[in-house]
Amino acid sequence: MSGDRIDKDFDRQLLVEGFDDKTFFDQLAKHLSYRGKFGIIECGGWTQIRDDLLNMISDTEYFRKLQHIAIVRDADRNTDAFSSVKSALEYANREVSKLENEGGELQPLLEYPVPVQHLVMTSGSPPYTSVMILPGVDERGALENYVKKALMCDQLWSCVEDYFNCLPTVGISIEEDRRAKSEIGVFISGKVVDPDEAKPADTRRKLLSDIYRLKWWDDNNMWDDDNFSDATKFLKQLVEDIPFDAQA
Amino acid sequence: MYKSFRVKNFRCFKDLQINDLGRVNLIAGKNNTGKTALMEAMLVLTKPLTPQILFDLHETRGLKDSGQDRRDVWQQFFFGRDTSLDIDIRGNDDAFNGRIRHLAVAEHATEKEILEHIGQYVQQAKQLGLISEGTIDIRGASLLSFSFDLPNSQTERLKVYLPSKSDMPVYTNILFDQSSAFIPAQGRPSAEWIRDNFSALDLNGDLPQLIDFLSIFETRLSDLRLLSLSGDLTIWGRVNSHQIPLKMMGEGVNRFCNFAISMIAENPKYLFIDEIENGIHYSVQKDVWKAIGQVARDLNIQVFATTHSYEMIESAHEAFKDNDPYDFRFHRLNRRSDSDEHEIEAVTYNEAGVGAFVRSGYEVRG
Repeated sequence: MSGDRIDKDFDRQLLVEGFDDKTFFDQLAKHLSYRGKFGIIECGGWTQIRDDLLNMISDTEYFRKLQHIAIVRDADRNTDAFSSVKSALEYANREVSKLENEGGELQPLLEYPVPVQHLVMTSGSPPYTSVMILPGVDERGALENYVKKALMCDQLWSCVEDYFNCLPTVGISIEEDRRAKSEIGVFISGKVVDPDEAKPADTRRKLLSDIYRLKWWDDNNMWDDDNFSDATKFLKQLVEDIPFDAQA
Repeated sequence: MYKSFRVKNFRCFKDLQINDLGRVNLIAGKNNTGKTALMEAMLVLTKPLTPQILFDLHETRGLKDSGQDRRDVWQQFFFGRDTSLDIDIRGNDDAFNGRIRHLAVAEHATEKEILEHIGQYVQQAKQLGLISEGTIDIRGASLLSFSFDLPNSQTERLKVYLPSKSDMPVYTNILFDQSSAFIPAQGRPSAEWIRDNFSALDLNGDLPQLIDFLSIFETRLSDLRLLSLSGDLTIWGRVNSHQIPLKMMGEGVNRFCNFAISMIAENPKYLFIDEIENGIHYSVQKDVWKAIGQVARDLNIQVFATTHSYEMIESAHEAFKDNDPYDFRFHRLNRRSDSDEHEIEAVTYNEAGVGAFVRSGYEVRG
């Protein structure tokens, strides 16, 4: 129920697809001291993000309080994921309740502003909207591919690559869509020094979400990695309304 | 069937607009957001030149008319009890020559206003033989006028007057009435209502349909009869080999029986049901909606109902989602916290909107 998923005390919300995305942005927010300054809505998938966008704009009392709505979507196999998010916002504007204006025309009761550029928030008046596609606007993949970019600088990564290059020679094939996730799993196993460190904290914990708990992650200041600068600036934009392209 | 509706300065509404009305409409919202008041405004528009409707509605709310000054009652229908602003009710009715059905209700309380309108009032009363020359004393009285746009004219309006003094006659014009029925949240219809409508239903051979409907609640029901025992007129049902008074079958069965009798026997153009969920168990709600939807379509009835129940919204969507076209709408009334007067606005959920919140469990009850 939304009572658990959506905390309406926040006037800034980040909509993400799943648990891994929620954990990633929550941990990054903790690192940036942004925790408690925005809500994270785990929608449960792309279709549900569309539903929640329509739900939020139909909840007019809450919508009028909103300052900023940021949406994170996995590109998956979609090369035009940014357009699909714009379509979802336009869909909500189209389906929301209408009012007749002075000229007798029907107009949406409220509207989402639709961003024109990946990562860059809308201008004008609140609520602002902004969109981040993972791993990047013209790329295929998901959060794992985005995190992987930061891990590839580590010397362990060449071992991971060797391992995955070896697998086909013994008749094991890994689906391309799953490869980044599997690679990170192998990478984590190479970074675990204390076996207790790898124990799942709860049953919902997934492989990718375990990586931020590793001592190695903190020791190497991974959140400050250049590869995460987009996500960092995206959160700063959400919390402080400083446009992405105006940040250093 | 109304496609859209707008009401100004009525009860708690300063200016409320609802578009995209469906065949079956469910209205929800927090307490005191005007769910019942919205249906009252719609009902008033179905009887535009019948001032008595205000007193009927007053009574439906469980309030008593003191019988002294009618103004005490009609004041309560004005936004903020401010009678200086006219009540304005408009409905876009597709059966009304494609025009807006428009009613304006205004109070005339100053001497100048009274003099301006009293001639028309006296003339109307005389036409009906309600008064004779020289018998009318308007001192200290005020008048409430009901002005209704004539359907075939762009400019002509018809007016009737309601005087504040209870001993002064009221002129009513039922020429433009639309048949409508209002089922309040509590209370049972009179024995006369049950007798007349049940008999009409029986006479028209519609009893099997009523039995079918009530089978949603009691699958073993095979017959219904209207019996008078010890002067008490009651509907009895045959369950297996036993005759059982319907009153013994629970509140939900009796309320649904009233909805069904009203729809089939009275065949109103508009049916208003306050707090439809009362007494109806969630396990039969979907079937109740299916039955209401089917009769509404077959008999061309537009249904409006209020609810506080999430399950009623969910079950309605389940009942209507396979129907093409999707003729269910959910309307949520919100009190705007960003306006000085905490105005009420309506948000309408179409198939996409209702579907989205049912799938995600988003809180929409208000």
